[in-house]
Amino acid sequence: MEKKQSLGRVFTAGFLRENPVLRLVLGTCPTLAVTTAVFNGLGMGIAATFVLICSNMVISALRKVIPSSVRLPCFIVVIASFVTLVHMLIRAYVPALNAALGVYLPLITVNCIILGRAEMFASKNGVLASALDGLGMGIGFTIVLVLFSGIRELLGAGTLLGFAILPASIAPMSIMILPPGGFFVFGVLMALAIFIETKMGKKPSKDAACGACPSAEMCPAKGVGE
Amino acid sequence: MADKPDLSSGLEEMERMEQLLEASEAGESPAEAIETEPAETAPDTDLPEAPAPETADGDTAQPDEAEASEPAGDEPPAPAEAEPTKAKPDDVDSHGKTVYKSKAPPKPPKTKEVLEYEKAKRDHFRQTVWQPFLSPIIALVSICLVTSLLLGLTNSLTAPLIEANAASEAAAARRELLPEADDFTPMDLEGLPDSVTAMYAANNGTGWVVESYGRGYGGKVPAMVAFDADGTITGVTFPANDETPGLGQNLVGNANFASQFNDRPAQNISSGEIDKIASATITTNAAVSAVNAAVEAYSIKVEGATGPATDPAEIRAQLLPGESLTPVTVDAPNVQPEAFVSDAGNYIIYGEKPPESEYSGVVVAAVAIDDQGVILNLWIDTSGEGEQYGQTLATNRQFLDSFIGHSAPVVVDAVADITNSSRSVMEAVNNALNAWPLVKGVE
Repeated sequence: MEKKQSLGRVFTAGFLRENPVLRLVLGTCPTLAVTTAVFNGLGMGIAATFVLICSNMVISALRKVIPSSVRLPCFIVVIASFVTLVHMLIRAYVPALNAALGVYLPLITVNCIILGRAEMFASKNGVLASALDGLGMGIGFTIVLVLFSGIRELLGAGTLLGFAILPASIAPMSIMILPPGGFFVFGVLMALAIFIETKMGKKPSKDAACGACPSAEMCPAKGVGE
Repeated sequence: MADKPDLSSGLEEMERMEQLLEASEAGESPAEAIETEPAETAPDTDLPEAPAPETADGDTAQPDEAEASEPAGDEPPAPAEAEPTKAKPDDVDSHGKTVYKSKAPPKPPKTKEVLEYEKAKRDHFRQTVWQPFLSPIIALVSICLVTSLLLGLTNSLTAPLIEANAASEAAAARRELLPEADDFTPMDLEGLPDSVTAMYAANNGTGWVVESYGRGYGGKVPAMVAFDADGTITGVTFPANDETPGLGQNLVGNANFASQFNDRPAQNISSGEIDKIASATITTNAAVSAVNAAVEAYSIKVEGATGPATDPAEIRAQLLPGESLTPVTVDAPNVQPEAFVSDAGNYIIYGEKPPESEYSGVVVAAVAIDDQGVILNLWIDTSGEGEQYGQTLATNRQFLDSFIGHSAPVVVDAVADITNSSRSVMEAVNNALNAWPLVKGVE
């Protein structure tokens, strides 16, 4: 039923066309919460990418076994156990990595990008395509987080990755690293993503956000305004 | 796609089966028929009959007996029962179909249709029970089982390693604060304030490290405080907290702020003595109260000092060590009726300051006075005062010591930020001093 996409297209979808944060509007909560500093954004992005690839592969491999009526609980169980497993292993064997990413790993369980990709992609596609989709989406997520946190850290604290960039004479706007600043940047970046897409001569696909929704078929609002 | 037709035919078949059953129950004829005339005419080409023997078989025994006992049947075909009648239209079932009793030879011909029927039954089961209920349950349960097995396995493998990692990390943090220490032994936290989460003694006796917290704007503000062997604060660090980024968060890693605590004696620190972090007053106060909790833990555990409220007799023994006390009664305003006279000629009088407002409680001061009316020592109970303010006076040795050596009326410097409570304490002390001549007179 779904048109087969080329693997390259699957891989690049997450960068801009179906960027999880800016176009699919998934994972907004962790995005707003952790992007107060570039290091945090990078850490969250890398951790989420890793989990995304693995959970996509597992879900894709299990897609024939899982009855559709209980697929969501099954996905959540798989994802949550996977995250917990990885967290335990990292804490035990790579404590240095844990010091950097430890806070973000448990947060990933509730990151809806993971569940979203499991539902939208991995449960309908093969293992390789799902792994690529996870990688692409993860990179897209990481890029956005780094951009997001770069803007917020630079304006809100005058630093990047902890190094002072702005001269001390310029007082940082600390509202940028407070929650309101997150929303400002979110809106601007989202508009920017659509602007770039339009400039590239492509009509931003309205399907990315709305048509990809699992409930799209029964949604009365689908296609409104198109 | 094979499912649909199969199902419907299966259902049809079942329906017919039911009709048959009804018929057999009502007329009890098919059963006898089988017995009486096994294989006479075979008019049946009807589908429904094939399965009949199955159900009828079970009935065979009963109808026999039943009919034998009461030959007078109720139905038209009844008379015919006993006799070897021909297989006639012997019964027309309630639905108007002519049903010929299955004289079907029990085994061979039924197989095909019975199989079909059973297959339909299986399909029916698959569609109504297996797919909607059983398979989801089995899938979910088995996924949960497998994952929890994996988790349990991994946990049992990693838990000891994780614990060791955490322990060595914490030890490294402690060693940073107290470099001379070799290793640390955790201490019992009994009797310490709730806000003290851990206390460690250096094994080589070079000092102690206390972990405590204060309540900030966004939750707990933890602190680690190191004391050397003389009871001097050698270092304070503030680990990660949940305060506002850009404001309260500036506490973490702020060496200028943390160094203000260095080299102070292990005594209560008033928040007025510490330069606050701009726009983070609540966080700063939480940090100071965390350090004060550590100081209190130090004085309780190491100096053996008791907390503000303990056994009254013990407190009196501390005020006048080694002297034996006799209670006397005193009747004076704002003084507790029971006072004490020691064998050395000193006195302990409990002065009170009634509460000023509904927000504060009674301030009590137990004052040890010599026979010249000079304060030797005192203990105060300010538990009704503000938690981070008035209450800290009870352990503020500097403040308490400033009373010693004075006689009535005493005026001492109020502690910064705690002016009202300081005044209340002064008033309670003065009330005790004013009652002193009375007590002396009683004696």
